[in-house]
Amino acid sequence: MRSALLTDLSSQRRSLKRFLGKSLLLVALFFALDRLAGWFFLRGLEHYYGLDVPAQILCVGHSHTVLGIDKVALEQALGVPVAKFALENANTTDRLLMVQHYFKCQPASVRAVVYDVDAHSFTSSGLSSSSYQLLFPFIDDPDIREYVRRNCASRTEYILRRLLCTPRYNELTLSFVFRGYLNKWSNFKFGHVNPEVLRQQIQQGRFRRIDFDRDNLCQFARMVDFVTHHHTRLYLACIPTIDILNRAEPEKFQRSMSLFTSFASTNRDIIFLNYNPQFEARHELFFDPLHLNREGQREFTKQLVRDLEPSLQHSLFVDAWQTNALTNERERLSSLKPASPKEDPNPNDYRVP
Amino acid sequence: MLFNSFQYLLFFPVVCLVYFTIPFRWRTAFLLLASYYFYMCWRWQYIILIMVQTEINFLCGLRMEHARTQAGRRALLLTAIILSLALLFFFKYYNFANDALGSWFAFLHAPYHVPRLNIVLPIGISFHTFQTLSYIIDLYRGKIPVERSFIKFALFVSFFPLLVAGPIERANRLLPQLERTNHFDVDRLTSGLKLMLWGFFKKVVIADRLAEYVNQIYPHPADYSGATLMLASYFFAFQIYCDFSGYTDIAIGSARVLGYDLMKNFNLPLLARSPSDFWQRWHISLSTWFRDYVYFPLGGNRASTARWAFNIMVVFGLSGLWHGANWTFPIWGLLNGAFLLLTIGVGPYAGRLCRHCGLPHRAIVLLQVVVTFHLLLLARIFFRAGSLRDALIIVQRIFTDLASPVYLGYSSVGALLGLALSVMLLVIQWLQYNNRLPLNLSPVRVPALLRWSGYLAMLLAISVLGKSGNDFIYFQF
Repeated sequence: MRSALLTDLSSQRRSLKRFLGKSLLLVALFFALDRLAGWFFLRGLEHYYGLDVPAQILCVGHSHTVLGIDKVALEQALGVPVAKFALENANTTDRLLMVQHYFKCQPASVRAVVYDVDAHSFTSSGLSSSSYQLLFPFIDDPDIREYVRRNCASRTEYILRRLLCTPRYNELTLSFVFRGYLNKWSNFKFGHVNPEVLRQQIQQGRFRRIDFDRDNLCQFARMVDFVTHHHTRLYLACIPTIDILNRAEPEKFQRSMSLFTSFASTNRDIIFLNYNPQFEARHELFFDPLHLNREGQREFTKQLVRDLEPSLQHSLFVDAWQTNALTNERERLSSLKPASPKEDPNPNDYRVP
Repeated sequence: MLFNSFQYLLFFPVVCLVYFTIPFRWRTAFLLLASYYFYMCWRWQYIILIMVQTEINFLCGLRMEHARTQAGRRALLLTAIILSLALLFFFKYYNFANDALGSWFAFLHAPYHVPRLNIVLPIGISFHTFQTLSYIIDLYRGKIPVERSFIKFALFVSFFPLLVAGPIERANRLLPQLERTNHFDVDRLTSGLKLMLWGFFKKVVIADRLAEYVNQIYPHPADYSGATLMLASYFFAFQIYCDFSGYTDIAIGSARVLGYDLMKNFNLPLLARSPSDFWQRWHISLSTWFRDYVYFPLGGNRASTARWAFNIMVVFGLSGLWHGANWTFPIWGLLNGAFLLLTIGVGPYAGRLCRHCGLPHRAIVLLQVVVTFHLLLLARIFFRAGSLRDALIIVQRIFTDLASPVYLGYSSVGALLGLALSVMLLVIQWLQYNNRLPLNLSPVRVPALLRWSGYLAMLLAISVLGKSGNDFIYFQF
């Protein structure tokens, strides 16, 4: 017996052919556009994060770095190329993968990693549980692919990203793509935090609690090992957060700072830079309790330059210059301020007592 | 199962394929099974509720046919209505009524010990309850013949495209369609898929993006400035429209592919020129339901002015209560009723004043659209706010603190993109209003290049900017 569907189809053969032809064309056009857009997006994003140039300083972190460090000011002041590979909400595992990914992209260039830390670096709650999605654009890297595959909420989420390029991006990464093409790295947050509202929220218990998750500590330690094994200096930069929040849980806050100090004491190439004492009370520099505004970014970056400059000028910039490791950067750097060789300062000078 | 899920993207083609392949006599039963499966993907136990409601109304309908007296018919009608509404009341309003009674007893210093129950609200309960009620009332009124096939009647109640959020179909429209033999039709497939694409775009690209900002601001209105709350309220107006009309487009498109025509539920409501115009363009299936089964029986406008105003307020109050078990909803409804009466009363004088001032017709239309939009926006604050207190804070802040800086949320890019998409939607609606772009399935021709660019842009936007997995707002009603 012939099915009703076949009878219907044969009676509309012409229009069906036209429909199928148009559908196939639409799907083909969509896939082609998807590939083209994916390629275009990835180029812009790599440029924004600095993955396409051999940077000597790699800044890795989450939103604190995104809003706190001015990559251009850092490059101009230090005279070396800087990559700012920072993703909002990135947890310690994401950041380990980000560091590894950068070292894969630019295996020989990095001399120092500026890794942002804060009292919540080991806190398990509060950051998005779907932070693996931030790494979707780099899913072609086998390590990242495996991490994404393990963490995806569903198989379809993973397969869709493998199949198509455009779903790997969201509005945030897209804005980074266009910023990359436009060479815009500045902080566009002009507002100011409202300390009164924050005080009320803390009184009502509406703030993120600090905790110390074992997995996060392990991933952090793995990152430290990875960086130090590559003979790269690691700066643990505690980008400031507002004092009202820092005092919400003073004991845990101090414990977390002590952890970074103890990490720094294990290796000469690990330096802990705590900027809270200097900036936390200057409320006008904060956009919200956790993030600096544009003015805050400017002030903070100036201070970061002052702290990085003495050790970098000798150990990184001059070394690199002399060993010709970065010949393609030589011309660009020669136009910048020449560095005067200084004695390598004692890294302990930069540690918080 | 959500329309905006991969599950549905698999479910729907399989249902279509099987539906058109199997012999005609099995199709209704198959669609019923598919519809029950669709609902059971959410909570399988609650299918019993739908079955009970179907059974009650089906049996009452059959008995009504054989009832010898009008009183008997009336008793059966009342039985069906009371039992259906009792189920709705228990699942949707029990805790709300219990809390209200508790407050009254506390006010009177009297003891009250009726416990709250941990009830999960069955999705779409208000929709299928109203749909079954429309059948039994129309049957009582003699407008439709009794449906003798239980399977057909059960499918009328639970047809999956309209099961959880409407449109609230009428028996005289849908039941005859279930009788007819549907053949696979390429033209219906094409137009249905186009409508579904537009629905997906509105839901996952616009509504869910705006929802991120609204969901951040509305739960804590005291933390934000008046300007921020105003922006969140604007966003909510677009969010709820795109969410609900997106759902409806997918529902109508899905049914269309299967050979069924569901009623139109939206007709460019953002461009309504008065509140009364708005209610003829927004959630048309519910508005007409209340008109036919509440407003007209109350006397409609064939009564004194005071009685007519009372009828309007009753209808809007009930419509608000239909939406949810919270005081904010009836207040939203009553505000809408008040605005409708106000504009009917003041409108002619305002029109005369505008013409007297020499305003051109287009400017008057624009002014009407803007005023209507903002009146409804004000009412919608009560619809979205979590409590009356929150709603009053929002209204107070908007009216006293509008010059303050706007906070763009966790992702300012997301908020700006949401703003751009809302403006784009308004432009598209304006073009549709002026017949330059097709409205749903209307036959306005658009150049092929523009059409194809539109399809590709929508597909790419869904792929890049789409958010997946968010519920539709109207599921909770």
